[in-house]
Amino acid sequence: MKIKHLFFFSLILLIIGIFINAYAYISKCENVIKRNVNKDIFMGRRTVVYLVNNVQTYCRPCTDYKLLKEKEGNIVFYVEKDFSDIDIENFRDAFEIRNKDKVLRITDSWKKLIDKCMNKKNNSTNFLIIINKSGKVEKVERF
Amino acid sequence: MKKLVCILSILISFSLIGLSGFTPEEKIKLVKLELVRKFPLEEQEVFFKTTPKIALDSSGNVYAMDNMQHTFFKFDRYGNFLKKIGRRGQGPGELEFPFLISLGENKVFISDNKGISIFDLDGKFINGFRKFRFTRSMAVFKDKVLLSESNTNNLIAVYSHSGKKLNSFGEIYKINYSILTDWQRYRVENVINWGEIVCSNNYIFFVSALFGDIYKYDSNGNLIKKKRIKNIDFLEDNKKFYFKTTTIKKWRNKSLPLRLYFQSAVYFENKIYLLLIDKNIYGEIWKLDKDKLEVEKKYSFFNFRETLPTQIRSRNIGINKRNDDNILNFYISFISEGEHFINVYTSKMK
Repeated sequence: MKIKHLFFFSLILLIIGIFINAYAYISKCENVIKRNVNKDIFMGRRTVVYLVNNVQTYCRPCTDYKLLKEKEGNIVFYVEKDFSDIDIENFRDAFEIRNKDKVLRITDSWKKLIDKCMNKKNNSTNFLIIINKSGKVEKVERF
Repeated sequence: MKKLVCILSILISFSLIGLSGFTPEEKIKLVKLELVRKFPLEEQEVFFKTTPKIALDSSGNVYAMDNMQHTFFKFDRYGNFLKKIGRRGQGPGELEFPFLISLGENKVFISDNKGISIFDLDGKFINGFRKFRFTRSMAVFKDKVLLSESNTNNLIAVYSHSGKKLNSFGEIYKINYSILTDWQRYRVENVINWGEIVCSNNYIFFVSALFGDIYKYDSNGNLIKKKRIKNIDFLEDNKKFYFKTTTIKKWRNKSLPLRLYFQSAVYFENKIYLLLIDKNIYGEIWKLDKDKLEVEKKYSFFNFRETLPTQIRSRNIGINKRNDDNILNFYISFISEGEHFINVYTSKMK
């Protein structure tokens, strides 16, 4: 009787452990990003995604942009939902964004990702995601 | 004969010394201002958490912006509290660490961390737009907003009230950034291009806080005149440091020489008024003519030499005129022993 109880108890613990691990894996930022990348119609191979949640006027969120635009294919900027057309125009002007690169209002799924993955401690609420030639997420950087 | 020559030469050298020390600005009389009012009063149940930036409308109402309270207050010309406008947030009509205020076209323009918010004089939010560069100074010129921004090649950027960038003009100061190692370029750029934009009905002025240069532009942004404030040694020192630094190999781990000579500038009835901040001339307001761009009058509002400079700091100035006569009212925001307030001083116009 006691062995049976012990067995069931261990089984329950094991199942809980598996669930926790699975949840941790699913909700891991990098994995959430990967899923978003696969879902997003704009994402192709050799793509750079900027999730610009907070534009600091001092900090230049697109510092790497100058380097990346030389060698990468598509570059997409996701900005906040309430950006007006003029805001987007001024954003392009301020960061010298090429016409061929997209500036889009953020979708719900990307917004959720920011809320989930941002580092509140050091105020890193912006993301730079680089997708390599084979379509895999190569780099995720918070800034 | 020899004695006569000696006496004459001594006399000549004395007169030469006297002449070399003579400058036209030393002749300018210093007018002492009279303190007439201080607000907010305790019974008004309004207080500032930071020394407010202030702006005055044509009726003389005072708009005082408090950075830490994320809001601005409206007082009448006598300092009676009328209204508190805005609250912390990023939504329409909300403010987050506002740091510039300007009035024009019967609207109040506030620049905060996010962008520019525009209110009517009763505090009703009209519209706003985001900005993506650090804003050093802001002024309203007719139906345009003028911003002095970081990371641009021009001194002044022109925006419509809806936020559309129309054009930009004016040459920014540029230096050899490589000498200032360990200093980020944008910081150096912000320091050397620090200044205030003030506008008359037809002209735009930019006063450089570090070098004392005053630029006058027409409404299209064409430079009409450039003049430099004279007789302030450290302005020359600033110039020498930033532009003639061949003797300085590298400026490592040291703070930048940052002696600004004025804290705030305001345009009122064909004159530009500068609120001085240097420790030697602290507590003075200099009045410049809009055409000559020369100092023509100096006002003294506080004798800082008798007070420890850390105890009291003035920050911002606004001017209006009493309805019944030619008396000017100077509104100056202060911090003294942790308390922030606005003092009102008066002076006869002529």
